[in-house]
Amino acid sequence: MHLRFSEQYPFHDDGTFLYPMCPVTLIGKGSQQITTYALVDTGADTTMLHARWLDRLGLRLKSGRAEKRWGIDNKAIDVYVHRIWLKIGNRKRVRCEVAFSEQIGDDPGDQLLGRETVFDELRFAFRQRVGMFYLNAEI
Amino acid sequence: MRIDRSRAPTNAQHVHEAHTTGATRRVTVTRGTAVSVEFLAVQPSATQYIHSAATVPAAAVQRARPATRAYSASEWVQRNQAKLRPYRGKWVAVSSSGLVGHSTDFDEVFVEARRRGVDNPLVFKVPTPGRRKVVSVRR
Repeated sequence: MHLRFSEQYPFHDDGTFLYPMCPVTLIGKGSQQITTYALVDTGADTTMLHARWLDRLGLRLKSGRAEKRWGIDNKAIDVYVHRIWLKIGNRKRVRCEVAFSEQIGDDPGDQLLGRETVFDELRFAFRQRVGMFYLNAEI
Repeated sequence: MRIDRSRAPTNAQHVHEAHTTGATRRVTVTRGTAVSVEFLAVQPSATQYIHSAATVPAAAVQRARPATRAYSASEWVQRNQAKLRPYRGKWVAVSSSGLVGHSTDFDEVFVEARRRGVDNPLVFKVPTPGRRKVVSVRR
């Protein structure tokens, strides 16, 4: 079995732990866009980002669909779901639902690239032992 | 894991040695991006695989990764993680040429980046070490 990957990124090393952080560009109204890092989280059902990014995309948080999300502590988080374009890594653009919330942190490790749509459109491989992860836009 | 050295690394740019868990692993990296991971002889545990970085033709590498500003900024971060340590807990803006802004204020980094002529920098908060994260979210 052969799997090919077109991009590779090192795990971010914060001095204590390693995190698979992927550059993600959020594309809002018009040409407004913003690029940051998000944690590739295989345990997250959906993509979830801090609400502060929305301001820079020209979108209002509460114009999204109000929903709840639950973390591993089973506490509900209020989110607003927006359907936007994301560019994941270097080139793959996906239109997907992103839950924005003011109730999560704004560290890169709190911005979660979840499975819905993202894992349908991209293939990932993780090799923590060598500190690298890989992605490919074609499944 | 063993590394497949039978294929000539024609498009390899450098050899990356990762020192993790007391072991040295040598991985051939192609321009920091294109790589082929072959999952061969996969064991029932799926833990053994062969990595080969030399199976993608150089021409395919160029097609796979057109240069973009966001990606270049990410590459700078990859190579200069140590330079970001003084900014732990702060917002930073990074372009392909390096750090173009830093602040404790989210909006201020964009202002600073724009002042330096960078409209769409890679923006993120530099993680503070030692915060073990357990993240995951369900719908």
